[in-house]
Amino acid sequence: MSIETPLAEHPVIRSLADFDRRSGSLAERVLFNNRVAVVVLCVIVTVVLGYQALGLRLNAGFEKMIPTKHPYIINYLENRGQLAGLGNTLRIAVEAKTGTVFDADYLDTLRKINDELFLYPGVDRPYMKSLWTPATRWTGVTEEGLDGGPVIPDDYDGSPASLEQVRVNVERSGEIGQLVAANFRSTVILVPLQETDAETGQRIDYHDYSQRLERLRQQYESDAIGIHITGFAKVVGDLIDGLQQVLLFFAAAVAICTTVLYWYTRCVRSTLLVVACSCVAVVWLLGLLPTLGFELDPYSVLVPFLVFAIGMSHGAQKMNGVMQDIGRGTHRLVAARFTFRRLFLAGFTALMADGVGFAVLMVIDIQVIRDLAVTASIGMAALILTNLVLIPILLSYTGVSAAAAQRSLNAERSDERDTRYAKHRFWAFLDLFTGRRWAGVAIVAAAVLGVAGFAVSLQLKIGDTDPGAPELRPNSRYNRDNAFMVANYAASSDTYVIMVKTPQFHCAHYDTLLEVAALEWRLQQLPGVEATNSLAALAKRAAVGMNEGSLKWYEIPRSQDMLNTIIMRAPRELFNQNCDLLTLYVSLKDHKADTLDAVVQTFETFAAQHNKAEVRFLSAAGNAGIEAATNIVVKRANVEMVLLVYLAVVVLAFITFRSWRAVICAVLPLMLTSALCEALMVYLNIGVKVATLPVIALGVGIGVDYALYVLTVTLARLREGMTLSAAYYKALLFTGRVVVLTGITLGLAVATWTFSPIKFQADMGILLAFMFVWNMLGALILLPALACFLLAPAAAAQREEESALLVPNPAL
Amino acid sequence: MMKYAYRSLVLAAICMLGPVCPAGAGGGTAATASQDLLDRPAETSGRAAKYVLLAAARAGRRLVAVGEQGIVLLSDDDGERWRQAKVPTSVTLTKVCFVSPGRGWAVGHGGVVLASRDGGETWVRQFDGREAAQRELEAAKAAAAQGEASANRRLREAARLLDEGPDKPLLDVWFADENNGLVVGAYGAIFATGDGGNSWRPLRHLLDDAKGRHLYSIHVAGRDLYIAGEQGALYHSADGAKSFTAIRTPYVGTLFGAVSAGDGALVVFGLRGNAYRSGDGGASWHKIDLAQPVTVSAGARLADGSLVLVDETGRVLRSDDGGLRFSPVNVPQPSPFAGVVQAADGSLVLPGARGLTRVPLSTALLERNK
Repeated sequence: MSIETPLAEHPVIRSLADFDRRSGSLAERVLFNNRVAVVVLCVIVTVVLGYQALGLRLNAGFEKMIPTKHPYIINYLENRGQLAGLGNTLRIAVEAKTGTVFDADYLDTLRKINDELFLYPGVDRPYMKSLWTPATRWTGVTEEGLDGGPVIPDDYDGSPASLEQVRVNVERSGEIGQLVAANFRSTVILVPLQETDAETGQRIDYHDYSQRLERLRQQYESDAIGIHITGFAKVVGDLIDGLQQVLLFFAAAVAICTTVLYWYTRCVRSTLLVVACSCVAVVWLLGLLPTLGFELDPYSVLVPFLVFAIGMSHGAQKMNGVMQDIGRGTHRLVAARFTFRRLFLAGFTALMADGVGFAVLMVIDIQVIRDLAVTASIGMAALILTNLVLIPILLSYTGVSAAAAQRSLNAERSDERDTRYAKHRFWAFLDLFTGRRWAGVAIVAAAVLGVAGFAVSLQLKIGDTDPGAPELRPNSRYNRDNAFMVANYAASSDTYVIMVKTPQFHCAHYDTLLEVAALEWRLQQLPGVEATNSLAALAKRAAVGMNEGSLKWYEIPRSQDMLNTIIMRAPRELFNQNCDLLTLYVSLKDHKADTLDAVVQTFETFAAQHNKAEVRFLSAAGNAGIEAATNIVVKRANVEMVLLVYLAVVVLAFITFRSWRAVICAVLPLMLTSALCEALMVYLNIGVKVATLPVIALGVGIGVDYALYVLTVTLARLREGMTLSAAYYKALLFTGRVVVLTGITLGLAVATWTFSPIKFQADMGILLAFMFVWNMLGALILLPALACFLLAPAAAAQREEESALLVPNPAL
Repeated sequence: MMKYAYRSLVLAAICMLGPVCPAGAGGGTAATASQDLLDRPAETSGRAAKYVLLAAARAGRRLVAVGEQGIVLLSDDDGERWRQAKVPTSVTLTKVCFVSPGRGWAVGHGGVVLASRDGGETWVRQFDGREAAQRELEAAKAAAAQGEASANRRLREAARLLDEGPDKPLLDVWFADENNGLVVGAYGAIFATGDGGNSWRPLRHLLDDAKGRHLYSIHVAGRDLYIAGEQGALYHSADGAKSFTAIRTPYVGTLFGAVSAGDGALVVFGLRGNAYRSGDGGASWHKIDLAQPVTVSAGARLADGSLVLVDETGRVLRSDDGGLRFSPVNVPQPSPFAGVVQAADGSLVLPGARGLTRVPLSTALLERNK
């Protein structure tokens, strides 16, 4: 070739005989001089791990989603044995669609459902509650004193008289709004679950559970009976159901990536190769998980997508390099080795950055996020082997199709001749940002966006922003069921539980109850609190009951003997066997972040004033209490995580570039994207929660790839003495086009999640797509603009030094 | 069906009588660390009108309602909007009474008596259960000094009252004018004042009830004063509470109140839908059919002379014929009601377990009012 292009760092070597097999780094020599062994090894590993992957299970344990080291959760776990039926309870409302619940057929169906549920695995049977459980009792006042019994009388026979008796008993049971809807058109079966089955010692398989419940629903739902199910187990079950659709999205993502890659290369062979290698990485990942004892949960299921998409991005870079060399006439093996040489470090650093980005998530004290971090890090390790090593090696066998290589060469040659950048308007446009004027505009615009984004992001909410199960879409079956519960029952599905520790046998002490009542009063003043319940509240009601139902006695009795009498018949949900633990239940309107914040604030203030050696108020149990603790951890983790991920990226970028100016060029655009992503979350009303916490770390980790690929080449060219404009243009032609390609494919691939029935996956899809595309634009626009001010002057100074010694460079 | 062999009254009475009561876990009172509810000023709440409210009264045009946690609510628009008054105690208040737009009294748990001189805006404590026990003891000592027969028993009872502390609620208050008033309460408590509530003297000996039955309400019709209470208790005084006679009633359960039915007739009502009417000063009684065995908690005579009774399932029953027959009034949001008062615009204001309910009277009823 007559023109020695600056792009070709390596000479064109047409024959293997001209190539020195001992050249290159140790890694390159080891890998490429033992190509057969590497390929065979990879095949064996793929087969073994593929087999292992068959044992992979989908699940999501309750405890995996909570921050087990937070003091609130420690309090909860310490006292869990004493708290009846909290945290993980199924609520099954059986609705009478045509009449009221005081109907023989209805009650019969309810009994069947009740009996069936009673036998389900993992049910904490003593605390199960429905109209048909013996614990559901009524009390009444007569001239002789108190009268009471089970709500459904022992002699119930379905006759009108019996039904009337049930109706009367329900009226005086105090269960209206609790177990029985106020409109008498539905009743609830409360099914507390234990994470591990007491009999078999096995953990609940939530997917199986959810399917059982769906079968139950199908079996009993009819024109007369409606079934509404809420509870953690059902949410997780529905999530796992939704995950099966995720497979479809995976297929869609693969199809999109393959199509775009083929459109770019027009080479079936290499396209399939890159897709196959990326899939191999996914297979390795899925095989390693069960081998290492991990399960996939609704959160970590997204990792295979990322692994695949990232694999495609790196694979495309490798393929592009090999294609250009082969197009120039280099032998395919040599081309592969050259590409390996040129891009392995950049690729390795990028994958390390990704891996570190994910590993940083390990600091968060929530098991699902840790699992996600481990899963993603394993994926990155797999990619280093499959896409940085296996792809070049396989390409060294297959090469690329001659037509594609020729096309690549033609494109390159026309690019070379096209010194005025007329051919690629887009590249020319991007090149504008290497000039001071446009660079200034870009930086000012970015600064404005950054400040605005940051200002908006200050309103970012922690936790859930929607009522119901925010994991699922608002119109999903589950959330409609939840809305039914909220509409018909006073006890909401969001319960915050405060525990009160007292000395043994002192739980019903008058002074203690006064304190509890004082806290209840404060909580009742919060707009998000619908109702509270405690032994103090019960004592007031019991005082009324013990005085012939006269409301005038609605006060905590001062007489300790009276209180002791009351607790003898008080339900066990309110205090424990030893009488040293009281539970205060706070029913909330929803579990939005603001609601929980207010409860936590009120509680903390009260506890700080009132906790003393004998009586201590402890937070928190109940789903809302656990969520409050999770929010606190997530809020802290969000800041820590962002700091750590940037620290990691900065360190890695510095190792790669050895220039702090270059580090700034690479990292500032990422920061802009992070700020804008948080602003977008505010705009879309998405809170920071377990599901969205990893997005920024993932976005930054993957976003830094673009900068690494573009800046590596730009810096190399600058150091060779090019102007920034020329160097950047070269970088665009070499790696930039693939950055655009992968930015768009990754964005499209994750955007498919938007259609997921699982809301947080849709949220993550939108946010990640945004981050991938903005990071790409940042790397292509803001990076050269920053380089214009930070890198160009240094490079120019260096050039002047050189030009004083040498003849002027014609490229200038 | 299981029936608890348990009688609230009997058990409570046994406990009161001392040594036979089993000392349960953590038994005995120990008012240590926290401030006593009696001394704790009521906290204000934007939701106060949704708490348990037990009674309401008119102070001129103004409505004053009282309830749990020392809540006192005032309304100057016939019960549409309410605001909370300043109250120096947090105990549950059970009853309120005004003799003029300015002057009123409220009673409640802890044996508290509160007085207001500004139409219920602010209140001061005049009396409480601790002081009540002292008065009883003084009265018993005075009786002993005069060598009365029952003096020993009264001394024992007073000593016990002192020992038990202020754990007995006052349940009703009535003032004839700015000076002369009467309060009654649990376990036979009854005190009178002649100086606007500054000092109170026990009248327990006038009723002479060894069982110490709860006295739930005072009802006054002209010169006749009635006190209704537990186990069908009904006392009558025709001399301004200087002496009482017990009236036999046909019911053994609790009577929560009485209301005049016009023409000297009296309606008493109580537990499990029991209501009786007497047209001859209690010599003979006639049972009123209220359809449901549900406790009637309060009653009132309206401006048009009709009677209303309210019950613990939220029914409002009205009689146009002097209490012979009652029929239900439509109530949009029933709640267990504890009291009833007619606002200046004729509508009914009903305090109860879920706060205040306002029932505007129908046009027809208003017309009849004229």
